[in-house]
Parts: sequence; structure tokens; C-alpha cells
Amino acid sequence: MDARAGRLQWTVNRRTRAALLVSGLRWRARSSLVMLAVAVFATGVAAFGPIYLHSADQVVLTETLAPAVPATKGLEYFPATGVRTLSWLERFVRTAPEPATGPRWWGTPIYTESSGFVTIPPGISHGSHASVSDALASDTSRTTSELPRDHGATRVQLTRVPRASYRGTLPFTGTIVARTHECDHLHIVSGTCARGRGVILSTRDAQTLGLSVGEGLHVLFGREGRVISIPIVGIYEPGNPSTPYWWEYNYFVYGSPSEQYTGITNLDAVFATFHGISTWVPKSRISVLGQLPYRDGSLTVDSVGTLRKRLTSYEANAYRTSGIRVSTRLLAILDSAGTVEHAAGTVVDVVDLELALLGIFVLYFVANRTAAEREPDVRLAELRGFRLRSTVAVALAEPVAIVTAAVPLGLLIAWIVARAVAPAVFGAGVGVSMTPLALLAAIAAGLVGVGAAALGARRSLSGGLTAAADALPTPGSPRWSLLADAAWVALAGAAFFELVVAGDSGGGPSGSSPLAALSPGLLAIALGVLAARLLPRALGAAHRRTAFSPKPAATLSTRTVARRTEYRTQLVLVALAVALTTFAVSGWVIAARNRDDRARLGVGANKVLDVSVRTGTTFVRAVRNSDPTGRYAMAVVVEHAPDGTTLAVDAQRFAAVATWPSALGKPAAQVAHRLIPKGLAPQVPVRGTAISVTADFTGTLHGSPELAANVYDIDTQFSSRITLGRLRPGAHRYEGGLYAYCPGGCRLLDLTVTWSTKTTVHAPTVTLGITSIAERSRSGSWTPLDAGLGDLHRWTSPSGRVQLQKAGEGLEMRFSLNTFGTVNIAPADVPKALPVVVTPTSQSTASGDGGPLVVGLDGSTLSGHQVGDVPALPGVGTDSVLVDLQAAERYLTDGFMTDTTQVWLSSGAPPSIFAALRQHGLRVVGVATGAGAVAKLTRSGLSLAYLLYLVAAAAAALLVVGATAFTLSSAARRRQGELSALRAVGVDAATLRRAVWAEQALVLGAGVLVGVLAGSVAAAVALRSVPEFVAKTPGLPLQLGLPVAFLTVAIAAVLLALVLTVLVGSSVIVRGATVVRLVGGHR
Amino acid sequence: MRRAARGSLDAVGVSVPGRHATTTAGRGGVPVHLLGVVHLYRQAGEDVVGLRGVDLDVDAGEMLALLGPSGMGKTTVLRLIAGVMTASAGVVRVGEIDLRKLKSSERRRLRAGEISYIVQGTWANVLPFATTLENLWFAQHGARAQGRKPPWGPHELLDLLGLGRLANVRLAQMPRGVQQLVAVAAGMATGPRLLLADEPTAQLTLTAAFNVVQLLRHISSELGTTVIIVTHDTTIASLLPRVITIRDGRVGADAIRGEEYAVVDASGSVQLPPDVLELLPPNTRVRVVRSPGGVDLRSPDWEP
Repeated sequence: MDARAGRLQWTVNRRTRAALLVSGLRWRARSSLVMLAVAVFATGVAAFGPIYLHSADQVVLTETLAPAVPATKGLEYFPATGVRTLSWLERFVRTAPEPATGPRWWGTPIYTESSGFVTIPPGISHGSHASVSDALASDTSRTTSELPRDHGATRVQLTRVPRASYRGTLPFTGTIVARTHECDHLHIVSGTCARGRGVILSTRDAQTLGLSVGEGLHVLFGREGRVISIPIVGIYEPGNPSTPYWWEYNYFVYGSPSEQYTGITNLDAVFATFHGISTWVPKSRISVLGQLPYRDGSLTVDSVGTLRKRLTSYEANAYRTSGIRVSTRLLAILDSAGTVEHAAGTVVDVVDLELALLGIFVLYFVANRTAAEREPDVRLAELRGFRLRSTVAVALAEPVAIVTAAVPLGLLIAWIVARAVAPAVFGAGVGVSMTPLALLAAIAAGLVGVGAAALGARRSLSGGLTAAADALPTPGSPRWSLLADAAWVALAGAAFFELVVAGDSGGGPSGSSPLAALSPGLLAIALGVLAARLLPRALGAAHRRTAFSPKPAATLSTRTVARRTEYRTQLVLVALAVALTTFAVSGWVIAARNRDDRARLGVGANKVLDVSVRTGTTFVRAVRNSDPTGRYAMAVVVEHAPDGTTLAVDAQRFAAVATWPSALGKPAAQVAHRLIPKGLAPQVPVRGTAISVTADFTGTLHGSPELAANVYDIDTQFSSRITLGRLRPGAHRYEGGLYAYCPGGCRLLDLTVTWSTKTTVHAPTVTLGITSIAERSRSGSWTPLDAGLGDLHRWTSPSGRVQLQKAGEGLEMRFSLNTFGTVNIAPADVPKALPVVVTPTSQSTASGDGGPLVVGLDGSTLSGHQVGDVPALPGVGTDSVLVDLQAAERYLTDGFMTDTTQVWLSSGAPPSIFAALRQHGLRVVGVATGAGAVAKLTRSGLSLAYLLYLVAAAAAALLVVGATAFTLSSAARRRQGELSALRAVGVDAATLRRAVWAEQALVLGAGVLVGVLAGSVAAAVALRSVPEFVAKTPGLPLQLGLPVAFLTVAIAAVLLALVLTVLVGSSVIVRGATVVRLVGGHR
Repeated sequence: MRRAARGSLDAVGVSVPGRHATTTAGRGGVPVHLLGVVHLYRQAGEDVVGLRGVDLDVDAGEMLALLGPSGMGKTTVLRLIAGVMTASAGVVRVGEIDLRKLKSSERRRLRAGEISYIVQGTWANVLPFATTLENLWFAQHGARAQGRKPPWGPHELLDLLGLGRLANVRLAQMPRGVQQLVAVAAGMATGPRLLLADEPTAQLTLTAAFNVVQLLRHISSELGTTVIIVTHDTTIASLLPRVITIRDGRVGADAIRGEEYAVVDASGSVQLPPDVLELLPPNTRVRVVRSPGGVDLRSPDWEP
């Protein structure tokens, strides 16, 4: 019975306690709600960071994986040893790791069987043709893995079609391929796909080999094989090797030289069925390949760890147990995504910690301000003889309950907000998850919040019963307060030191330490408490001046602010919030500015068009004709080479068109101007059907010297040697036909004299006087060329060993017919060294004479002459050089190698430019825009992280305005009492209103000033420690200057909101300050 | 007046018990003994004498009022008896307990059971957001936490005091006079043997004040609790059987059932009533003359 009564009493106690708690919260609804809101903010912010980061990480992962080609993110299976069959490989591929739940990681496998072959021309049997015999002397097998891979996704392939017809006369090399679902990815133009026992050829193969559907392809597999005829069942259009299905393997290599056999050209791949290959090709010559494509979107950040572990184990087991090499770059991609995620995580942590710190500080502030409301309850508990524990419970029950309730609420709201903003911030399809880390963060924030609330509410415990009875304010402990302030200052000092050291040392990829990350907030608090301590003293000094001031408002306000300790907390709070706003705005603007600059510089211009140039079109001339104004379009050629990249631009248009951020230092016009070589002789154009040179030979003829002219066709990018004839003593005219070499005009490269060194015994010195160079027009008449033969400066001898001198209106060459066998003279229209602007990394590849070595447009190595250096170049970044395109073209003696031809457009380019380009023979095959690059970067991990800065700025501003409103509101009753007394002694309402304004102006003004100072200093120092800004990689220098304009606007907005709040709040307070109010008083 | 008061109280469900009300055996009262109590406090850096040697004896179950103008030391005397302040000198004894010898925790324990102190201002004694029952539960919590079972439950006490219909009414919804009744009830929640009330009728209407006094008298008479109230209202004081007047930190007079007496303290000093003081201004020399009825204060020039 007693036990039952005890249980009943326990239940009653619990219920009553709960009822009292709820009633108390309702009674103090305003302060409870404010505290709840702040606690929800603090816990919500703490939880929001991890939730946001989780989604941002997912975006980073997806964005990193999505553009990666299948070859890098999928799995490839190569039998490491021995002959393996397709079925054996299939069995193994099926064991690829898959997740226990959720979408599968891998798609449908693609299998390939292939074998190299050599075509046998009709009528030529095995071994009867020298070139075939030579070819077969070595191994002809060529596996798929040895096929060239196309790593440049946007590169324009400039395939040179062989000039001469090889139809039916020469062998070719090729690869016969059977690949899963190949017919779905080949466009058949004739016949059918290889469904039966036949093969399909590309249109180019068929044309070159002179074969068509129904005929046979004669091939030889391997040295020991026999020539077999395979029926042709279809003709296909060569595909684009950069599409995902082909896994970067270029099966369409028609026209490229064979890597195995000198002088033999490759065909496009010949496609067959698996059955066909097994029928025709000896088993030992079949290469087997398995490819398992990654399913985009299947991997989540949560499953990355599992995938890593299982894939690593799978790869190791594959080789050990089955002799299969599993190749993938997926783990490397995940590593790079992880690096970005880590950097983004650091940024989010910084912002999140700062915001949570602010929230918790506001929570302390609110708890401190509302402690007076709970103080009577505590005094009553003491009066009723409660034990200390019970008294503490009375004091802290409500703050603890509020903060405890705030944890799930904060979590929920964080999740809801994250879900709401996810589509706009992360894009559709990116989920928002409640992660364990978010839960932990919210709980941690809740615990800290409880501590802050308890600390804020401590004053209700520190008074005595007599204080309650007398309703006297409880004086704080100056010693503890001083110690606490000193602790803040010390902590901030330590953090600031850490920050400066970390910033100077560059930190690391992980960014700054947590202490440094918190330093903006700590710095603001430290400066705030210092200001809060100094302000009363400063105002105290003003007491004497204002003692008999005719302006009572000044007198009242200075004394009130100097006397009341609560203003100190408000000042610190304002300083903290404004500092965070300043820091956040600075961080976001600086990050966005640098991101935009880097993105736009990375593209090169407002729009960059990849173009293919119609044969016979002069690229630069076509672009110039498309935009005669010179302001909108510029021809650009990018030559990629292992040693670096050469960016060749139309220097005359560079400044008007290219993106050139001020951070690059020198003005674009100045840089471009230096690229144009000075003092070059004009080119000697040749447009006719024949060329003639009138020359007077003097000396002894040895070795049958022969005169030739080399010309270069800029349109077709071919140089041709025109033999003019053997030299004869005396003056003669030497002629050579240009045939169809220069339909659009050529440039005279040089005049060359060659002779046989075998017959040269005494190496006599001879003289060759060139008196005229002429071309024959299509009508047959001869016209002298403006070669400037009478001007020694217009000619030079690239080969050396030639003494040039003027002879009348002509040019005289003196040289020795020595063992070198050749000399030449050329128009001095090619600079000795190509003027280049270098980037820091490209300077390391210096030529012998001190200038940098430059990759020419035809792939040759040229000597450069450095005329400037910049941190990075538009479109190509670092490890590159900038040259003038026309100057670089003067070095051309062959075609572009692996160049990308582009047209860069400025922002003002009219839409009609596209039509103009097309009209002038330029076909646009790809477009990149600066805006697109910025948009893409905006979805990068770091960008998403920096977006939080903006949220932080808004939240901090909102908090400080709310806290100010709460301060005015919570003090309204007491202030109204004080002001009522002043009204009673005759002070008018306007003076009181001004006094309240002045009080707030003093506190808020000091807080804003301190906040701006702390935030600016922290931003200036801390941003160097934030990952993106620490980046030591070469490139566009980061601009870390504070965004004064943005900061001014942001701070002005905060100030405006504060002023409005103060105006409204003070008006309400003063309106309620009436003499009637002095009568009576109640709790 | 009493009828009117009853009517107004009935409106909120209050029935102030009369002497015939049903009673439960109380725990009885406890005597209070103050001897030569001196209290100093610091103000603006200087010691100020609050009490200058207060002698007071209160019998168990007695009810009295400490009367006097503001600042005379009434509340200080009450706080010393309640144990929320400690006397600078002298003896403050409640029952057999010398409060000056108790530690803070022991005095707190005393307030959770033996002594109940109702401070000035209604809201300082109750939780305004709670119901009457919850307030009584809260008031008993200190005793329960110390393992002491209050002599009555909240319902029982309310019935005892005739406040049963207020059980589930929130304090904030009550008139001020009724709130003060609940404050008194809360003061009795732990069944104290000494009930101290500081200005329990302040800022109340006369009717409400009368009801409060009637409740206190009921507590004293029916439960045997020693009741000491502080008031500056002579009307209220006149309703109590004994009135101690505190003047200048001393016991100035002791009136029992309407008869006021000057009190000779332990040092032989006597405070003269104000009207007499007009005749004998300070520093007047008097001759103390025995008389058949007592002692006469005579001017030196007086000739019989």
C-alpha cells in the first residue's frame, strides 16, 4: 500500500513538475519563444552544416563522375597472361562488386574481341610484294589496348587524306573488331551491319580499297597465317571516338601511319561479329577485352567507402586468383572528388562554427536577459527551503527544456530548409539526408547551448533571499567578469596568432586549424569586450562635459550607457554579428570574384568556338573577314604538346576579344603588342602557275648543283619543293611549274642549291647572282615578284655558309660547294626567335640561348624570345606560352599537328558572326562560354561551400537586428519605469526619446565599428587560410582585397535595419513612460 | 463589512472559515525569543545600525503584529526570525533553536518545515502561472526533498483553510486579495509552527486585507501556529490580539488587546510614546519617581 502511495506520489510529482514547467514557459512566453528561436537557430545551424555538406559532397561526387569518360570511371578487364576466352572473361566480370542495397554500380558489360590484320592487294600473294613481305617480317598482331586513345574531348581532329590514291596497289593495316552492341553505334550507309558471317568497312576504307558490299576483303592475320577473303556485308560512316560507347579507343584511325610498319597506313576498324572473329582469326591472335561501365548517379557519398574497400579487394583478387588485370581510374577520380569535398568541408565548418558560435552567444545573451524573469521563482524556492540542487533545477529547468526541445526542432528545420533550398542550390535530384554527423552537431550545439543558457541564467542563482525580498538588482562579480573577458582576449589572441602563422605558411590542403577557423568570431568577441570595458570609461570622461549640458538627452544617455552592464553584452553581440557579416560578405564576394575570374580566364573569352577549317581556307584571313571591325572575333590556334601548350592568337585583336583579368598584371594591349615581331621583311607571295629565277652562276661546277624553290601553301598547309634546274655557268632563267600546289597562293620559303657531296673534292667557292624572281600567271605572262632582291635586309641565309651581298638590283650568293651539300637563302620574313609571353612554369624549358623553347604549330620546336610573363594565359592557363598566330605561321613548313583551331568572340559579338564564319569556310563544332564555365564552377564543391557565407551574413544580420529588438523589448518595462520617473520631474517625451536613441546609437555604433574592424581584419588574415585561397598552384593570382563596395552596402543595410528597430523600439518605450505608470507595480 | 467581504470572496469560490470551521489537529506553535538583538548593515561603505537591542518574547501559538513606520526595523526583525538574515549580536531563538548558531543549510532546512516566511508582495510568494494546488505542491517540495512529509496534502490544506474551490484556478486569474490568501495558504503548506508575514495586507483593499487577517487568525487559533505579521497599518494591527511597535530599531510599545504598554528593555531603557515625547523632548532631564501604580517621570522642577 505504501509502495503504491509512493508510486502515486511520484507520478503526481512528475506531472506537477511538468505542468509547472509548461505553465512557466507559457507565462514567460515571449522570452521562452525568443530563447527557443535562438536555440533552434543555433542547433539548426549546427545541423545544417553537415546536412548541407553531405548534399554538396554528393554534388561534387556526381559532378566529378559525370563528365568523366567511361574509360576512366568504368572497369576494364585485361587477361594478364595466356590465351583467354570471352566466356571465361564474362564469368569473371559478373563477380564485380555491387552494393548490398540501392542501385547497382555497374551497367551492362561491353566485350571486345579484336585482332590486327594486313590487307593484301588483289593479285598479290603472300610474300610476293616487298612491302607486304617487310610488313609480315614482324608481328602484325595489334591489340585493341594498343589503339590510340583520344584524350582531348574538344579537340578537332584534322585528318589528312592521303594525296595520292593507293587504290588496290598497297597494303594497309587494320583491326578487325567484334564489340557488344557495335551496330547500335555505327551508322550503316550501305548493306547491313555485321550480323552474319561478314564484315563492315568504313566509307573511307571502302573508297581507298576500292571495295563495296558483296566483295571480299583479303587480309592476313599474323605472319604465319594465310590470306583469307572475308565477305563485306556493309559500309559504315566513321563514328566519333569521343562518344562514351567507344571508351576513348579510336577505332577510326584511317590515314594515320601504322605504328608497326613504316610506310603503311592504317585503315578504320573493320567490324565483325564475335562468331566471325572466332571463325577467321586464330585463337592465339584474338585479344579479349571486357569493359564494365559505371552507372552514373549510382554512387552516393555514403557508399564511397564501401566501394573503395570492395573494389580494391576485387582488383587484388582478380590478378592473384584469375590472372586478370582490372583497370580503372575510378579510385583516382574519387580521390580528386574527396579532395574537393575536404576543402569544401573546411569552408562549411568555418562558416558553420562561426554561425553556431553566434547563435550560442545570442542564446547566452537571451538567457542572461530573461534570467530576471525567472528570478522570483528561484527566490521562492530558496524561501521555501529548497536544497541547492532543487533551486538550481528551478533556475535552469526552463532554459534546459527550451534548448532540449530546440535540438529536434533545429534538426527538423535544418532538414526542411536544406530540402527547400536543395533544388535551387544543388540542382534537381540531389537528395538531402539527415546524417549522423548532423545529429551529433545538433546535440553538441544543444549541449553547448545548455551551458550557455545556464551561464546566462546564473545570475538568478547568485543573488540572495534578501535581494529578492528587496527586489534589488544583483551586482555581478567584477572579478569573474574580468577573468572571463581576459580569457576571451587571450583565446582570440592565440587564434589570431595561429591564423597569421597558418596563413603565412600557406596552411595545407586541410586549411586552417579549428582555432584559426574560429578566429573571426573570437576576434570580434575580444575586441567587443575590450570596447565594452573602454566605452563606459570614455563616457565617464564625458560626464563632466555633459553635466550642465543644455541637451539633457546627451547627459542621460552617456550616464545610462556607462552605468548599465547589460549594454556591454549588447555591444559584444552587435560586434560579433557585424564581424561575422563582414567576414561572410568578404568571403563570399572574394570567392565569387576569384571563381568568376578563373572560370572566365579558363575559357579564354566570352565565347570560344571550336571550328574546323575548310580545306583551302586561310584561317586568320577567314576570321578577319568574318569580323572586319576587329572587335568581336579573333583566330586562335592552340597547340598541345607534352612539353607545354602554345596559344597562338591574332595579336592585333587579342586585347579586344580575350578575357584578361586585371590580376594578370600587365594590360592585354601591351602584352599583345609585344608579340608582334618587329623589322621583318615582307613575305614573298607566289600565286602563279610557275616560278622562275634568273641567276648568274660564276665558278667551277662540281656535284651538279641544282636550284630549287620551296613554297608553302598556307591554305592547305603543305610545303612544296619546286625544282628549277641544274645550274649552268652564266646568266640563265630557271623555271619550275607550281601545278596545283598554290591554288590560293603560296609563300616563298627559300631558294635552295643542292649538290652531290660525293663529287666535291676541292670545295670551290662559287657565286650565284639572283637578278630576278618571277611568276607566270594563268594567262601565261611572267610577272616579277616583289622579292626585294636589291635590299640585303630582306634576305637571309637560314642554312648559313652563304655570303650575301648586293649586286646591282640583284642579290649575290657566295658559297662553297663543300661537303654540306646544300645552302639556301630565304626572305627575312621569319623572326630569328618567336616573341613569346610565358607563364611561370613554361619558363623552365629554356632554349640554349636563354629564350624559352616553344612548340610550333606544326609540332616542331622553335626558339622563343621572351617578351613578357604573366601568371596564366586565357584558355590554356599555366605551362603555356602566348605567341602571335601570324608570326608562328611563318615558321610553318607543314600542317598543324594536333592543334585546336578556335574562334574567340568578345561579349559584344553579334549573332550574325556565326553566319559570317560559316560563309568564310569555318564550321563551328563546339562552343564554350565564360558564363557556362562560371555556372559550372558555381556548382562546384567550394562554390557551394562559399554560398554558406552569404547565408551566414544574412543570418548574422538578422540575429543582431532581432537581438536589438529583444533588448529593447525585454528592458521596456524597467526602462518605462525609469523614464516615467523622469517624466514626473518634468523631462519631456521628446528628450527621453532622444536619450534612448542616443543610448542605442552609442552601443550599436560602437558595436558596429568594432564588428567591422574585427570582421575586416579577420577576413584579410583568415581568408588566406581558407582552402581555395591557400591554393599554391600556379595560375591567376587570387585577389584577396576586401570588397569595400559590397561591405559598405551590407553594413549600411544592417545599420538601416538597426536604426529602424531602435526608432520603433524607443518610441514604444517612451510612449509607455507615463506618470500614471509610477503608481503600483507588479511582477 | 465581513458580510460584504464574504460575498466578494464567494464570487471566486472562497469561503473564509470562521471560528466554527472544521479543524484538523495542527502541529501547534513555537515560542520566539529575541534578546538584545542588534543588527548592522552596510550602506554606502558605512555601518548603519538597523536594530539597537530588540527584546521580544512571543508565546507558542500567539499571534502578533509588528507595527511601525517604514524604516524602523520591522522587516529586519522578521527576517532575523525567519533565518534569512543573521543578527549582528543578541539572541534569536525559535523554540529551542538559536538561529545565530545555525549554518545556512540548517536555516534553509528550518524554512522547509518549522518556519514559513511570507515576504512582502504577493508575487514573491507564489508562482503566478501555476494553480493554487500547484503552488501548494511547489511550497511543499522543499520539505519533501528533505524527506519530511507535510502534515497535510494540498487539497486537505485548502479544505482546512476554506479555499477548496480555488484549487485549480491559476493565480494570475485571481483578484489580488485572493492571491494573497493563496500566498498565506502556500505559507502554511509545510505545516509550519511559526508563520511570518511581511505586510500581508499591503496594497489590498480593506475587505481583502480583512480576509487575509481573518485567515491568519484562523491559522493561529485553530492550528495553534505562532503568527507574526509586519504591518504599518494600525487598523490591521488593531485586529490582532497583540501589537508590538518598533521605533528606531527598538521595541517601542507592546499593546495587548488594545491596551498599549511601553516596554522596558534589558538595559532598562523605555521608549516614550510620541505624544509623551512632545512633552519630554530629547535631552530633557527627568526624575524617575516610584508611585503606587508604577513609575512616574517628573521634571526636575516639578514640585508635588
